[in-house]
Amino acid sequence: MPLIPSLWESKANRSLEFSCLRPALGAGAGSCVTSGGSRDAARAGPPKLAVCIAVMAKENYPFYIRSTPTENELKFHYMVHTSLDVVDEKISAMAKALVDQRELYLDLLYPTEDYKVYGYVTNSKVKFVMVVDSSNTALRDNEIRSMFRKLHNSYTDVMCNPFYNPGDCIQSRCAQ
Amino acid sequence: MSPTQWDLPVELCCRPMAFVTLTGLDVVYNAVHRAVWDAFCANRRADRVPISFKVLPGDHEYPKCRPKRTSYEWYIPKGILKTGWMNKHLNLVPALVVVFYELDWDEPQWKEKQSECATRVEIVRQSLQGRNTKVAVVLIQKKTPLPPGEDVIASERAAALCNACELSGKSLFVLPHTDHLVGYIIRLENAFYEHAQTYYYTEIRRVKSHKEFLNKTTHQLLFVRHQFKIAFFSELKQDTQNALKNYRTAYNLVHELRAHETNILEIKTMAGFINYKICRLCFQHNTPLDAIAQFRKHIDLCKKKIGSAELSFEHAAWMSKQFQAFGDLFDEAIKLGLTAIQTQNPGFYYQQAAYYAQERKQLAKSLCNHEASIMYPNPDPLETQTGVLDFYGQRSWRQGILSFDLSDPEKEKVGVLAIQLKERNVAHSEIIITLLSNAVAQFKKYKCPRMKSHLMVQMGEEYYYAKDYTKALKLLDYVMCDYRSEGWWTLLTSILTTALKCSYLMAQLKDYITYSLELLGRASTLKDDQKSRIEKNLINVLMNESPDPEPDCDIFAVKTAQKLWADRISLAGSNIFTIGVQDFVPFVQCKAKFHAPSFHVDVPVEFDIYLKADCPHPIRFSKLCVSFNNQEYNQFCVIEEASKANEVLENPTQGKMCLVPGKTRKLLFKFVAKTEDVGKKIEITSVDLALGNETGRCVVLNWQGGGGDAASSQEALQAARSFKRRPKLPDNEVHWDSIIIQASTMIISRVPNISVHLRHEPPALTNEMYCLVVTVQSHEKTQIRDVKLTAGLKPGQDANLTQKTHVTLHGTELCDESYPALLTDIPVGDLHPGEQLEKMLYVRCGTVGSRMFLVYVSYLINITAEEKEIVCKCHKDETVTIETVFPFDVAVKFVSTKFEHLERVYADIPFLLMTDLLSASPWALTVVSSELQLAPSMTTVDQLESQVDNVVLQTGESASECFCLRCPSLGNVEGGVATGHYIISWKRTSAMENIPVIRTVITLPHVIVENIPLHVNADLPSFGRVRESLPVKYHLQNKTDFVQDVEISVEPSDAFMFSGLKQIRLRILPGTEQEMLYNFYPLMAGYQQLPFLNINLLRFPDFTNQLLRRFIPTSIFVKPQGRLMDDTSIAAA
Repeated sequence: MPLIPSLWESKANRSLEFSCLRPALGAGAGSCVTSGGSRDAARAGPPKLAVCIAVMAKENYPFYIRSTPTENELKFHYMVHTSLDVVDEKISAMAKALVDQRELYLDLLYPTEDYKVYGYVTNSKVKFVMVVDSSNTALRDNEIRSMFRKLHNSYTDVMCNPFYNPGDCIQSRCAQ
Repeated sequence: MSPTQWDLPVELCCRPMAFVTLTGLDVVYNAVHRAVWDAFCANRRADRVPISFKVLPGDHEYPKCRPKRTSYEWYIPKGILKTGWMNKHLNLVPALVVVFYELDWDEPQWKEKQSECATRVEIVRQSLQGRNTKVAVVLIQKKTPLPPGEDVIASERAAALCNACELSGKSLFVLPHTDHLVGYIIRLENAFYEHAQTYYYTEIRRVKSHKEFLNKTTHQLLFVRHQFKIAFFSELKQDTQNALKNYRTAYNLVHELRAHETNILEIKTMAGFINYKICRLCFQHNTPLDAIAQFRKHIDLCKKKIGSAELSFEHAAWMSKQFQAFGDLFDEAIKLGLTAIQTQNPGFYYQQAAYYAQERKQLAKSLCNHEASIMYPNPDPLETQTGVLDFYGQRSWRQGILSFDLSDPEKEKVGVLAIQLKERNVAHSEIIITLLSNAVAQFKKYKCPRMKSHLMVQMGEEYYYAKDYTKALKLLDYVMCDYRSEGWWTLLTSILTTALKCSYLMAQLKDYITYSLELLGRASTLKDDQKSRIEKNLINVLMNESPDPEPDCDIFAVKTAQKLWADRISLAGSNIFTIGVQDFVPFVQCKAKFHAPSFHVDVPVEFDIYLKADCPHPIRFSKLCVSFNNQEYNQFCVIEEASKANEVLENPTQGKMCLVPGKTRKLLFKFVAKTEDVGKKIEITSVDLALGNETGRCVVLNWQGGGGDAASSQEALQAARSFKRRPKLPDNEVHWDSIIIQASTMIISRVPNISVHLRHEPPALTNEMYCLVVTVQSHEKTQIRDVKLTAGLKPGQDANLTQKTHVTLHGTELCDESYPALLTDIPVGDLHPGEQLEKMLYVRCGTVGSRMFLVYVSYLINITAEEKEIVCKCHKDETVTIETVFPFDVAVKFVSTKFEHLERVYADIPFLLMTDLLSASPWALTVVSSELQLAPSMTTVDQLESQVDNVVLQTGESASECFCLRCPSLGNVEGGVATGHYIISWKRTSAMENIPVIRTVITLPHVIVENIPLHVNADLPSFGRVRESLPVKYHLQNKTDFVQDVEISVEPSDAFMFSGLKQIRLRILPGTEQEMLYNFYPLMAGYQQLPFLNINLLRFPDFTNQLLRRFIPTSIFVKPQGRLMDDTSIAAA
């Protein structure tokens, strides 16, 4: 896979990719996870925010990972990475189930003292992981599910983007 | 305060058991007593009642009982739970005191003994003044007691003894010292257990009875204390259900206490104790979910109760301990059979405990950073008179003070200082590492490899903080590959950065270089300025200088490291490091690619080495060498660029070996392959790229095979999947991703420049010497030498074919079995350009079918390649499939002299053998001659000359012969009589004179020979003429050994008149012949039926006229009556 630095190879190329990706992941993931979340927050009580969202390839390397408290990014990277243990286990348990009855949403992966980690896996084994603050009671199962669905839609949009090169890291400007 | 201050007390963690003391046993000098004691102690398995026994002297002083409080009105408790209370009831205050006394029922001095026993009981009672402890007496007796009720003296004396000792009958026991000691002991201890339970029951009642005196305002602490005591007594009573219930109540009461900075530690300590008990009991009751729920509740309630900010590390320590203790409990429950799962296992609790331990370390670091000049306060405020605290969780300098106001702020300050200074000496890293390794062990068990790796990273980092760099590196190095293989570059970079620091601080050259190489590489997510710094350090190291220290390192450690580096410089030797890159992602990438998958030996082998650097600045390498599986080629593939050590970064864009970041550098190599390697694979086994030179330090990057490192296979896969259009580059440049490694090539022989033609006339005929003409013509520019021909049956076909195919160069003689199926390496000499040679081969195929024949011509030629004279061996082969067919079909039949088909022949009677030779060959055949070799049983009637000598048969033509034979009588032969062989000598009509004739032998079929009693043959002319006499003589031969009676009659015929015997009866002697003469007179012309001869043998009724007709003619051609004149005219015509 092109490593992260290799994305900066060609400036012209990058800006093209950027502007094309923005409407895709920007509109979807943004509204559900971060920027849209803060809009909701202004209206109704506690912020509907995930602390960290991550998209991982079938081979488990990260496509996209973004956390809101940027100062402790590494901690979230580790958290997402370790959650793959549970994702793997759930997927292998799921493999026995019938294909059409398969549930993409993997539920709560594991709780830590301060965070809850949720997982979601697409049929092509692309994994979404979302870390939510434990104290955030506004996010219940249904909200998490719909956030994942939106994230999945955004991801699909990115994949449909003809300028996106499959396997590359995903760029998005929406998440601040 | 000891570092183990946060450990839970032993008496809390043990399983409470009823405490029973045994007195009056002399276990040292008295063997009987010893045996009794051993029986109590030994084999205390789960099936025995839970009692803890202790042997004490009869006059042992038990802890004094404080006088009963009549009113709680003025009583103000000083704390929740006294530190000694649990131990007191576990190990000091017994539930039952047992007095052992040796006394038999028939003791002669009964009175004295009885009173001594009573005294002993009295002494025990004295020391238990005020306690509810029960007393029991056990009489150790030598005799086995009689069944109850039978021993009158016994019951009388027992009653007397009870009276004397003021005991109830239930408290007096008899222990006969006999064989069944253990059985008696078990019955005894069951009885003790009942007494103990009664004791604990009364204790619970007693504590409960205090409740009504308490009030909510002043006695809040007592509520907790009493509830705890009830629960603890319940546990001693083994009533775990009630114990759990009471602990739960106690837990709720603890949290109802008014918490303040001054008592928060006490509250937390007690809450922790009670929580521990609850969780423990829940696991014991096999309700792990309740335990987890309780623990979660406990943590949620206590998490925020930090207490004094100056001592906040204490809270972290306490939290850490809570998690650790729960992890231990969980783990213990698993060992007893509980099953844990991936997302709920003790590992998480150990991990959290480690997290709090880390927090404790952080807090301690910021709170305890006092100047070195600050001395530990004297007198020690943490010291108490007794050395222990009175109540759990209180401060030693203000024990028992319940007021929330600090009465003495100065004293408080000193106390806090003392705690902080103590905390500074705690080996935090050790605690953290222990907890982490506990967690690692758990996660390993529950299939969490990534969690395990993460924890190992933390352990490594903690070792780094603890300055144990060797262990840190070992751990980090171990997990690095996991992150590398999954492509988590941010995490890998972070680990590498720590590892680089460790290797710097230890001045580990090789590690330092390896980590630098990777941190400069494309897997690293470091910023460019960081990379520049690392690159600069790396160059420094290679120039045998010390690198700059890594940022954020401990100053003292850096000083030590700098000294180490300085030592390294002065140290000579071992300055070349070879680093295999297949396990990591270095900053240079390498790909080797042969230009073609195969090369002819007469053209030079060419390949490219592509190099690309990912570091921020251009870098110059000193040497590149390529190694092959045949090491002789290594010398041709070396590029060395002499440069001084300090030129690594200078003149960056010049020279072949200077790599500009991001640009692909292509290096072309060429060599001529050895002729011995024809047909072999040439493989690049490794590529070595040297950085730095041997005068300074030198790193050799070693790529196995044709390049590629830990990340490149994944990249190649992705490049293959990608449909990204690559921008056009100048002609001499290539896209890195588009280069596909090709690390091996085949050396194949030179293309031959000769023609090989085969001339022959298929198909081959069985057994003939089939002629195959091979024509070889050279089209080479120079003379070719050592031309060799290999020809014959192509190997690898049916093994039987090899037996039945023979090849020779000499067609003049027939080849036999000894000739091979394949002639190898027939030297043919040299050929000048354009010259042509012909070689005849003869093949003899013994069986029909198709065969593949191979004609292989090899030769040597001198060639100049790359100004080098080489001798090439070239070869050309031709294969041809030849069908072998039978040259002819031979049909044989037996017929009678009348040319009638015979199923069998008759002894002594002549018959005809007819052979029919049908040519099946597409080519004309010449039958040179034929020969009939008769079997001894057959005789010929006339000569056996060949009738088909030198007959030429075209396809489909046939040649027939006829032989008259006779078979003498042989008696009855099973399966018939052999006839003999028919031998045909033949050759192709087109074959040359000197080609030998082929003899094909055909075995003639067997024939069945039958005897007949009478043979009749007729002598008659070949034709008759109308109205001319036709004499016919019948010969009747008796073939038997008997005299034959024969009846002969002649049936009249319309076409003939005849004279002779019309009907006769005669006898023929054995072996003799009788002649019958008739004169027939034909009346009509044409083919006429003769008058039929009827013969009847009286002895052989089977002999029918049917059989007879086989031998004698039945009709004859009768010519019309001729005219003499006509005859002559015909003759004249």
